[in-house]
Amino acid sequence: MDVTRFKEEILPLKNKLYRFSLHIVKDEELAKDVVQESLIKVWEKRDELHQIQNLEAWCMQITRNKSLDKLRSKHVKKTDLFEVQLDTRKERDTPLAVTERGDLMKRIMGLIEALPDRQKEVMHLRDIEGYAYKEIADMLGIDINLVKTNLFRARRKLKESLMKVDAYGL
Amino acid sequence: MDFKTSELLKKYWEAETSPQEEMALKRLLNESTEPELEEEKVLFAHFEKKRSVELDDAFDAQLLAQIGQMEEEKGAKVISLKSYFRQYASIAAAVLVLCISGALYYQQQKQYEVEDTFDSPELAYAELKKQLLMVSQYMNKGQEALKELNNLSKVPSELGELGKLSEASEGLRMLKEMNVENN
Repeated sequence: MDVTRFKEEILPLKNKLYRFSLHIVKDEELAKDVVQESLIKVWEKRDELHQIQNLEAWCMQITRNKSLDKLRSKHVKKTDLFEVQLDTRKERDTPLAVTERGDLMKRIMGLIEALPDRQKEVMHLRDIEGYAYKEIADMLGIDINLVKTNLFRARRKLKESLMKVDAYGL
Repeated sequence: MDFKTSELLKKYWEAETSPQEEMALKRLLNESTEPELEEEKVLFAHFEKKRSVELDDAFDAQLLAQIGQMEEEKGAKVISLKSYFRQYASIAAAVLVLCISGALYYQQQKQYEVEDTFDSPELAYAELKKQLLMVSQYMNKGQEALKELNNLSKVPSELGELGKLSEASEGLRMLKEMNVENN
C-alpha cells in the first residue's frame, strides 16, 4: 500500500475512529492521539493488509484497543481519577436535577452513559455509526448474538428509563 | 403518530430494525411534529449530533507529515548504511589492489634481479671456464670412485670359496670322533 491508497482507503475512516475512541476515552485530545497512533500502526502494517478481510473492522479494533490502553494509563493518574469520580457523579444525577436544567438531551445522554460499557459500545456502533451486527461482532470480537442481545438490552433500558420519567411526570 | 412510524419505533425498541429501517425512522422523526415523539426525536438528534463530530483537516496534514518523516528516516537510514559500507569497501578494495600489485611487482623485480660481477666479457669467460673445469675435475674424481664399485661384482665368486669352510668343519668333526675313540 502506498500513500495514495492509504489516503483513499484508510484516512477517510479517521472520523469514525475518532468518534469511537472519544466514546471510550471521553477526551478529545486523547482520542486524537489514539487515532493518530492507530493509523500509524495501520501504515506500519501496510504490507500485511491484503490478509485482512474487513479493513474497517480491523481499524476499529486497533482503535478500541489503543483507547482502552490509554484509558487504563489515564486511570492510574491520581488527578484523572478525580475527574472520573466527578463524571460518575454527573451520571448519577437524579432525573429531577436533570429536568431542572430543562435539557432533555442531557437527560438522554445521562441515561445512555449509565448503561454498561458493552451495551454503550454496541449502541454507539449501531445507532451512531450504523454498522451491521456482523461488523460490530467483528470489531468487538464477540458473537453476533451477543451484539443483538446487548443492543436489545440497551434500548429496552433506555425506553424503560424514559417511560419511568414520563410516568412520574418529571 | 402514523402507523409506519409507530411500527418502526416498536421494532426499534425491540432491536429488530435493520440499518435501512433505522434510517427511515430517523427521517420520519425529523419530519414529525407530534409532541409524543419528542423523546425519540431528541434521542435520534443526539445520535446525529454525535455522528457530526469530526477531526479537522489539520489532522490529515499532521499524520501524513509524520508518515512522510517516518519513511524519510527509514530511507535515510538505509542509504547511510549502504554508503557507510560502500565507503569502507572501496577503501578496503583500493588497499587490497595496492598490496597485491605491490607484492607482484616486488616479486617480478626480484626474479630478474641479476648482478653483474665482471666488468669485461673476457674476464667473465675466463672465470666461467675455470669454474667449469673445476666442476669437470670433481666429476672425474667421482667417476674413479665409481670404478671401485665394479670390484663388487667379483665378491660373489670370492664368497663361493667360503663354502669350503663347511667342508673343513666336517673334517674337524671327524677328528673329534677320533679323539673320543682314543679315550
